[in-house]
Amino acid sequence: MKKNLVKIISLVLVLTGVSACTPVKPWERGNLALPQMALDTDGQEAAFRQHTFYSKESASGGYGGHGGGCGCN
Amino acid sequence: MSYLYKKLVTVCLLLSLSFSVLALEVGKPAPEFSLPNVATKTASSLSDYRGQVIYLDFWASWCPPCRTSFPLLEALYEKHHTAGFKIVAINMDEEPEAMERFLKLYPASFDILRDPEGEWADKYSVEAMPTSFIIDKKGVIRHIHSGFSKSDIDEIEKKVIELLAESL
Repeated sequence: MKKNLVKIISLVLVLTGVSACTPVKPWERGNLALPQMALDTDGQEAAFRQHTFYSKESASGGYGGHGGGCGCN
Repeated sequence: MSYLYKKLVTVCLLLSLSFSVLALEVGKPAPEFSLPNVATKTASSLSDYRGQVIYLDFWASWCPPCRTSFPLLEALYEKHHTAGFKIVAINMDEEPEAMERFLKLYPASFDILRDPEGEWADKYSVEAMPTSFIIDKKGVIRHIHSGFSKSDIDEIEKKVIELLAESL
């Protein structure tokens, strides 16, 4: 019985944490859309570096999608 | 595993799931909002605009397509407002100063309302910024538009003219 109680309490604790995982709404992305939040500060430089990387390593891609965080691009 | 334990796990799992809200659709009546108007400092609600064609726009100062849309919407409003066309732009910025800076750069003579908590954006199931709803004279949603690019204004104007021609 005591073992069960521990199980139940730990499960409830874990699930309390899960409830905090909530998607960011489109109108809450103001901070994410700031220029300083961009992964590349300069798009042209990033493209140039990627080009060099591709010719040296023969590997490209895997950098995710683009967009300002507003969910419209 | 005891029956009670199984039951508890099921209940907890169900509670942890986020239930998706039913999205608004074309043909459904627009939810009756009431939000503070930036210019008049009083509450504006959807029923204040009844009998007119409404372009309800959810926007924020940090959203690049909104910068594209504002000058075009202003021109559209200037052209059709005498015929009973209203633009109601609901600002979603947390800081009102950000909105004021935006409006200095992109002046708008149409109505600006504030919903910093996103209460009505949630009820209108806004999934992108900007999202706009074209509402007819009877208060029914007739068109939903997500995002904005320059060429979209032609389609919007066509729809507005079409709805302005309809009788109440």
